[in-house]
Amino acid sequence: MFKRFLGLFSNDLAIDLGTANTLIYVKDKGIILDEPSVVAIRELPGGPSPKSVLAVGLDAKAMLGRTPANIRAIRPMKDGVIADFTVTEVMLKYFIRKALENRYFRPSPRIVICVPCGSTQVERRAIKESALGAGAREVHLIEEPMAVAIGCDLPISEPTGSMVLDIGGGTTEVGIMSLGGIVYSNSLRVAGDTFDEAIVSYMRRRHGVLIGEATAERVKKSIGTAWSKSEVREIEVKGRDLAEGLSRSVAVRSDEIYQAISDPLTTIVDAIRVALEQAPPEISADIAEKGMVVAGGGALLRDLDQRLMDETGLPVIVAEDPLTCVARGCGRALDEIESLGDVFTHE
Amino acid sequence: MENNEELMQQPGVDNPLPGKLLRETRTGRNLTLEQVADDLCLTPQQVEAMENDDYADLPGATYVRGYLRNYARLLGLPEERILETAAIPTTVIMSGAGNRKAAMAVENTRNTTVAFLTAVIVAILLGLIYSWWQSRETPGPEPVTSSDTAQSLPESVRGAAAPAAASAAGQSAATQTSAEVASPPAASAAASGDVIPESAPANLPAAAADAGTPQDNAAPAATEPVSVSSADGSNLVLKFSADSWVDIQDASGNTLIRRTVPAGETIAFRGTPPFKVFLGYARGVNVNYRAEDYDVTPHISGAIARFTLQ
Repeated sequence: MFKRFLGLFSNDLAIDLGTANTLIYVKDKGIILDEPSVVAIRELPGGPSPKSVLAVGLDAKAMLGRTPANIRAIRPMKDGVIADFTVTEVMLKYFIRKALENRYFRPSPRIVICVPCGSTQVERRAIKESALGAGAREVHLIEEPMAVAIGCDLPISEPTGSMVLDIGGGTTEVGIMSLGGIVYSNSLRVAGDTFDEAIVSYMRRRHGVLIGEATAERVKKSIGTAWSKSEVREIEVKGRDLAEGLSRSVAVRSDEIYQAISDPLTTIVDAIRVALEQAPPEISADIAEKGMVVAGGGALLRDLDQRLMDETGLPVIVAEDPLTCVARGCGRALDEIESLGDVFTHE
Repeated sequence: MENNEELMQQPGVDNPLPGKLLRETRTGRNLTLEQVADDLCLTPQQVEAMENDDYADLPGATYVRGYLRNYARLLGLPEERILETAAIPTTVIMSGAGNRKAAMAVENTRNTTVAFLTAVIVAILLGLIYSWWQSRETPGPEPVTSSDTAQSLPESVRGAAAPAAASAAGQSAATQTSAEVASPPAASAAASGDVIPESAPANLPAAAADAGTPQDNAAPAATEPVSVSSADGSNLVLKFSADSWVDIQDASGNTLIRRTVPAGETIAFRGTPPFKVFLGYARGVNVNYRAEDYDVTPHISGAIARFTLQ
């Protein structure tokens, strides 16, 4: 009774706690926070508190790879799960405080957080505890494929199969839904970060130039492509020459990036094939007719849908605003929390 | 491409459905339905349905928008314009069983009106509780405070007060006794030592006016101690040298006072004895009962004192 009374005043939140970015959806307001999941920590040797948080979010991301010895800019989420519990809690607290504008009257919110479908019970509990520690009154978990499906308005409650692919920063999720439940799901630890690492590796191997992950991400976003028939583009990349140790500029073409990220992309395509094999025949037929929806930051990779259509023979649809799809789905689940009760997952 | 732009921006044609444009562009490029369907991984029937603007047999709004976008991109048409002009029906995500639950959920969703009304009701309740609490603090007869001593004390006392103030104006403020009090009753009280110093009423201009003593002493006269005799014998006068909580009840149980009295104030009461007295800081209170100083020391326990005056 008291909780329901408090609920009248609290701003409930839906959080897409991603490896790369954290998005917060506030009930009745929409997505009001979209910041990188990065925390900068200053280490104070001998001080009263050995560590203090220097910056969170956008400010902290600007520090990645550019910190002196006593500051560490870290990403507390790795592969879609919590790698550093304490820092994640600090980050969540910061984001929640930023999302809830009211400074004086701030009742504890109900929170919906999405989790990778491949996460373990321990990892799910860690995320839940972290949100409770950050001030949540009640925490619900929802699996990412389900959140994507809800965010994309797929007819998940109907007796027809719907397939989604969510390529995030740390994980790629493949899910098939029908009648409000998940028929098949799989989580790969191959995603945007893997593409960046592959580009770094390619540049070192092919051009003998060492670049950082932030530069690799920039290259991926500007000229990266997933399809061999894409229009060829070129970009200048600056890095450190491994032989001479000096800064050097290299012209990189999009077909090179295609080669660089080809391996992780093949892994993703294989996962889709496995999902189609594992699905019951009726659902496979539905998917073959309707196609697959792609969301997450990876969906913005140029011509990814063309590559997937070529490889799988399915119609492939890139979700509208794929970066916020999970957060929108979580938010919609929050808005209709009573009616969508069975879409949430339990530890 | 230019022809497509022209077609979409024809005057007099407001938002034409995109099917015709898609078909004309496709035939203009010598593409068959089968070729397009093959490129888009769709069936020719689905492509034809899009060209006929008939979305009823297509899976749902999300898929239709995706198919149209892919088709527009294949033909090199502006995707957003095609989507804007398409009349795609919206789908309900939770149909069937979900709707029943959704109907039940309506009352549970946050309603700002309910929240506002609840806040108003709570505010009213808090206001009522506060006013009730205030009314509890001042029950029974009003205690006689220094500011209205002149009105509440007996005539004889009031009569004595004015000359007392006048004469006291000539005295030092530190002098608590009134040996030179001109008034006979006051003088007798002074003689017996039952002098209760009290601030002179501020509304006694005569007192100040009659003070023939030096002008610089006239102003302090207003706050000079005065003698108050206990004419009817049942007067209880408390003089506070320190802040103290006071709670006094008379014989009938009426609460005469229940509050913290600041230092420097003097309060006189009349009522039916016995008085039940409770002092929060007894050492800071001088009790004068029936014109005699009452020693509270035997009743002091810690800082408080609780006793009954018969």
